[in-house]
Amino acid sequence: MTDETIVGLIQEALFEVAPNRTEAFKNITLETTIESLSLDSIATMEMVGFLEDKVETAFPDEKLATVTTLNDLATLVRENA
Amino acid sequence: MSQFDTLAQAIAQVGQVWPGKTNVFQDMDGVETEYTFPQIERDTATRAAALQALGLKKGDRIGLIIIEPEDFVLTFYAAIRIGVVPVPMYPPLSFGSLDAYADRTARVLTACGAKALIASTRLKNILFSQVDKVPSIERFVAAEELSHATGEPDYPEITEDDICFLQYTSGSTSDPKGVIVTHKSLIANCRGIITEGLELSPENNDRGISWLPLYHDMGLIGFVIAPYIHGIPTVYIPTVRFIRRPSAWLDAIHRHRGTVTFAPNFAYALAMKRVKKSQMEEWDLSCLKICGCGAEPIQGETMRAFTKLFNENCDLPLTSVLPAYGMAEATLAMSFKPIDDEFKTNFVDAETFENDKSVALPEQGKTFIEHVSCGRPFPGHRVVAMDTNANILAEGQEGELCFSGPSVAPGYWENPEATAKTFRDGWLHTGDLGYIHEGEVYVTGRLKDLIILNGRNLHPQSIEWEVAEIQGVRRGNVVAFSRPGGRSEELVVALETRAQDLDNLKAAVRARLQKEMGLTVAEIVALVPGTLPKTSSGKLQRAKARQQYLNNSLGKEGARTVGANAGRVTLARHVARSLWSRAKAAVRN
Repeated sequence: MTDETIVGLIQEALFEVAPNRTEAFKNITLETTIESLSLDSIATMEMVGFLEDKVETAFPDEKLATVTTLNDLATLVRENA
Repeated sequence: MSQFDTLAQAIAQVGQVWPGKTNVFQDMDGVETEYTFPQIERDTATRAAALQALGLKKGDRIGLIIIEPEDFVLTFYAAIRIGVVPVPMYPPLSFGSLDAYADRTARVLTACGAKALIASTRLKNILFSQVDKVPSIERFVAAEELSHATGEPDYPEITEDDICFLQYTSGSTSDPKGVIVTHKSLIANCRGIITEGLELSPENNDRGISWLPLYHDMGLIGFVIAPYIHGIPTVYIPTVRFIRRPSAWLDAIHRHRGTVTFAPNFAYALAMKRVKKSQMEEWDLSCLKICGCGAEPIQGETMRAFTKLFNENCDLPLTSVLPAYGMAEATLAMSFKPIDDEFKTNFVDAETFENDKSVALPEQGKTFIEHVSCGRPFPGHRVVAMDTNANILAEGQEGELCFSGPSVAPGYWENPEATAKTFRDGWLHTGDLGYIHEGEVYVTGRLKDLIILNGRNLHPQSIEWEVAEIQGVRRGNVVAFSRPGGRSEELVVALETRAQDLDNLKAAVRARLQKEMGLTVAEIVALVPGTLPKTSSGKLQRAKARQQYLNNSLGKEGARTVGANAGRVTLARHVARSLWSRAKAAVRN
């Protein structure tokens, strides 16, 4: 999976969980931190669930706890897709 | 009628009364472990012996921060059997900073004078640094270790007036408030919930399905204690599993033939959004008699859409949606919709309601507001609306909702000041606004400035203090309030500033609230200095600011002074999805 595909996928997930803030997610890159997305815990977990559904997998919990940037999330997607 | 006087007695005896009933615990992958009621009695006895071996005795408080539902329930019951007072607290959530979480945890542990902290093994590292900050804590133990004890515990005498556990609720970070739950108030409220409100019975093959957090009153009392002591088996789904995969909830109801479940409004919206047509084709939800809805304002629209979607596709009964009203200070529940009725809403004339605080039928062509009925109080309990002088108002008059009866908690733990404010002359003053109509309770707003986001109660002060720390924000000139949102309330922050770069300032506000409190802000309104409404003594008026925001007049009226920079500041003026516009939309549909 290319970087663009993964960023696109994450963007799709963000649009889904926070549809009123699409503007804020237009310019995300793999360097974007999760923190800067300003999602609450429910939206964050929802985003994870959306990605898991898309790539038909479940990310391991202990790995999730270490995610701080979108690149970390992309690594999870690549490893598990 | 419950046959037990105390929860301790119930835990010791339910296994004998209903030996064939079971509770099922799912893990994150959906793998299920079944416990029979007699097994729960045995396991809690073992853990109770382990707690006593730690030197804990009747009346001692212990903090519980346990992620795994099995360990949580068994440890919680074990403590209660020997009179030790558990204080359930929420575990940290993944992603993001732990500072604010750790701070709040230490404050609650200090406030209740916890003698021990029992936590999940995987949380020990995170919590270790906090334990040092709490002088009363003598022991810090992994929950898993408690299951290895030997010997029988020594059961002290426990009476119905003894404290069963403490529920720490919405109190602001600096002043946590722990509601005292006695055996008496608990047994009374559980009877109201199961027998009188929901009319559940072990003979009817009733079964509860819950993903609600166990450290929260609705999950803990509503789905752990109340069903258990009335012989109703229950299936538990980890909360995080539900959020990531909402279909796990309805799937469990279908497979286990669940008859009762509860959730906040946002969860019903989430379930609708994420469900797939192919899943609905497999589910038969005709068994689900009760979809309770509580813990945050209930939106008629959401619940109608939920009923329609799952009735058409999965045979969900039309009467299943059951709005409920409750709060921790009432132990849990205050009123439920009668189970055989379809849920009811009241359309009232908006102008009369806003101006006269009274209910009138809307005239043709006029704007109206929709209020959801939360049903009737349980037998032996009353809900009334009172004016500011504590006079009981007539039906259809809006005032503060007050509750009385055996379910009312005796007060807050070691906090006489807060207790005296909330519990007065035999009435629990809820801080909610509402009215009674044809004997049913309608909740319309809040007297207190409490903000409820996805079922989480937040005091605006704690948010405002965080924002005030940001450079460029005028100290003491920040208000936080909620607006109605798509599926839950949403957070709005209005602040005064002289900053030029508003995008940067707003980004800083978002980042700080995310990092420190895990909050998402729906809108930040930057205002010219002097435009937030204040009283003559200079106190911020949150309710007024909120009303101005909803009317799209915040910053445009009642300016105290006109700032010299007024012309240079651009205001963000999104029109809120106010009650008004939503009510209008409801008419069009």
